[in-house]
Amino acid sequence: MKIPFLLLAAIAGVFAGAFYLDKPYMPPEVPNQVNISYWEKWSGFEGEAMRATIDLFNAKKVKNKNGQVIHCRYLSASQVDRKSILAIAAGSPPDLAGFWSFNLHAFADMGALRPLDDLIARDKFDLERYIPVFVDMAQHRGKMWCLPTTPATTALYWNKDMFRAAGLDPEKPPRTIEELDAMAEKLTKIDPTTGKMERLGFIPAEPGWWHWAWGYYFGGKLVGDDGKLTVDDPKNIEAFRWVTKFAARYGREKLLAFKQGIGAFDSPQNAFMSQRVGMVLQGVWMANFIRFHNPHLEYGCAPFPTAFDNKGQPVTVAEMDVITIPRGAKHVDEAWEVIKFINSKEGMEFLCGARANNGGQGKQTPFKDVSPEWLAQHTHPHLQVFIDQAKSKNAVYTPKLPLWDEFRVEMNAVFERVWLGNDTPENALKYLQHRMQSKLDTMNAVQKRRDAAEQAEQKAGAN
Amino acid sequence: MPCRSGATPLSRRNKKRGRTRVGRVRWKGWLFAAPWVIGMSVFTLYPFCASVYYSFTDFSVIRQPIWIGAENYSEMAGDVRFWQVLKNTLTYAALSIPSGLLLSLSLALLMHSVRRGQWLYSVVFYLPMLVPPTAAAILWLWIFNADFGLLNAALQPFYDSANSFRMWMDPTLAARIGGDANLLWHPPAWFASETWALPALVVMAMWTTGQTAFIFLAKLRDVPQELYEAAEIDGASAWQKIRHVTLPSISPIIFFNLIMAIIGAFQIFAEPFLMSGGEGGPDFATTFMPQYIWDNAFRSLRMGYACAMSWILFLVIMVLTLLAFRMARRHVYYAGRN
Repeated sequence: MKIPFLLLAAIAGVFAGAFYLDKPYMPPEVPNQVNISYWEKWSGFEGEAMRATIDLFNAKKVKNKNGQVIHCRYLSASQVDRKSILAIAAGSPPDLAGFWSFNLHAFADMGALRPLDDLIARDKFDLERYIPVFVDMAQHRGKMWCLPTTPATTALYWNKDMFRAAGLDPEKPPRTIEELDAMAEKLTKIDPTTGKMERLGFIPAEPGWWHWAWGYYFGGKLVGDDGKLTVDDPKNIEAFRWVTKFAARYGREKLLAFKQGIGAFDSPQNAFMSQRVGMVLQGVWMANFIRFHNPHLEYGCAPFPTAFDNKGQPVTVAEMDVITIPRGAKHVDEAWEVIKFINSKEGMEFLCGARANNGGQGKQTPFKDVSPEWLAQHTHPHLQVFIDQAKSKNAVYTPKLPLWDEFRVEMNAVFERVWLGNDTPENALKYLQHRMQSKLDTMNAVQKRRDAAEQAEQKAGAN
Repeated sequence: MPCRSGATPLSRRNKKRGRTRVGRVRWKGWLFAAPWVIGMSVFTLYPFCASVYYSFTDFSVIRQPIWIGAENYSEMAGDVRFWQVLKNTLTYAALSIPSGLLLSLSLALLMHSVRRGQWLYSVVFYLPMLVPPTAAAILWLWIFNADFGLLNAALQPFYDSANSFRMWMDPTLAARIGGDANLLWHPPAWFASETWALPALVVMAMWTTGQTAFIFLAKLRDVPQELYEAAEIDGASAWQKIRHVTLPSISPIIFFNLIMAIIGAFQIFAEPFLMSGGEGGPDFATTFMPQYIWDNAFRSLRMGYACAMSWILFLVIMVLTLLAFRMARRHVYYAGRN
């Protein structure tokens, strides 16, 4: 009868040992060094570029106010936004988290981030160096919540070979929506025997990342100056009317089949890179992928056409990767040093560059001025188009809504209904306006309640 | 006196020994059960109970929950998306549960009737269970692909013939198709179509009926042979034997599989999530309750609202399960019970 006790003791020993050993990994303590953590969203070459930038920071052996060397530990994680939120909720967030600009407003509203205004003021950090749109995007409810890591704008990419084959001038991209439609028609090729679509000049459903932005290309907008939604603005309806033309012209089922036949974005089967679509709305990053998957593709970049006279101020969607300090981070000052380094000219040009050895993220920088040598070594053949567009008065970005993610999903559903002719643009956008405005009102009420509760809590804590 | 003095200590000793032994056994029992009890309490029981409280709060995960009474429930009543998603879930359950049970029972009956190589069929039908859901989802995405999918490649000739026949019947049709391409009939675009995405998921769910069929088969082998012999002597046909001997004999297993299918159908998440790129599209056609709950909990960080919805889902499953139990009283036959 002694054996079970021995066995139990052994099992208990194994458990105890496992619990003892199962401590989170702590980097070896180096004398006079402080370790901080950074969770980054990108993997692949973009993640490697960020890792290299952090390595560059570490190599500089920057010291904190106590004279300790700051060492930043870099971790690339998928779904970093959700993981960070849970870590923040659990009270053990990373010291730095890399998000997307469209995460910011919801995260700031829920109290997941630490504002940077005091640090910016303390160090007299110069925000004048930035192209204004990238500072605007970082602000919400009067506070700065992040600084950029890699910004981007979108433009029209067109396939010059396909233009030539269709008898179009390969150096002349469309300037208006009418021209876009006419050129798209010429580029489209349908097999006369099977009726199958071989290639299309353009479809608004590819890549399908900015359905919310079509209205802006027609002079509309999604949020009014009073903060109320203007989804059913006549210009937005006009944009969605344009979207419906494609299914009427080519056939709903055929378009769906064509769209399904297109491969993943980052693959040689990508619609534009496999030459199945002649013109596409894409970001500055596209050149990297063309270089990887179809380096011989001859293409041009130009501002995407608009349906109104934009007076030389092209409409572009501005986006950016951002770096934030989560609420509850333990090494705020050290984290701020990393942010400052990335946002120095040296750090930013290292991160956003595209070097011959494939280093760097291959995008633009958020600064008004860039080094001529940086521009010269960049591998994007049309980078200037994207830089110039960022300075446009019509550079737009995702509305600062606390429920942006839900809005985006609902907008995509509306697009799907409309472009396939299952609903009229008027009905669909009116429905979306009503649904999202009432949701927004609820969220704003919720936000007020949360703020009041937090203030009461802080007051109670102070007493 | 010796007798008295001798008897008492003995009984006491026995009593004491017995109590100690029982106590020791109990202690060991609890010790062995402890990992499960602790795991269950911490990871299931506590969240289960806490979710009742959270369903009455506004809880963003990051900040402290704020008590808001039944506001989440009243918001749900007016949330059109919630009703659409609940309808999707019920439709999926209504389509997938009976068809899954019917198919797996048919497979089991077929396997049971095979005299040789039954093991081979069992292996073949069970194999899909070994494919991870993610891999299966990708595989089915390709099968259902409207452009180059196997299914539409098989269907296309039928549609071509139908279109040719329509043009032969109506010579003006060809010209009209030139003006409106939508007049031509095409195979469905399956996962890209808001009409066909849900039925396609139901078809896909049939892929894993092998496991249910296996459970049916085990019970089918258990049906007493003499019942069939008696039925044959009475002149019963093959269908009558199934109807009056097989089905009543395996009814407890049909019931078990029904309950499991109800629970499984209401918990569908991975496949539609993967196939719609996490958006439950097109046009929310493949958003089911678990995903909508997940979206609210982890995308919108409205944990309170998500908890309230979880409780509604729980109630729906419970009501359906209770209905099934009620039905079972009349239709399920247990040989061991009078």
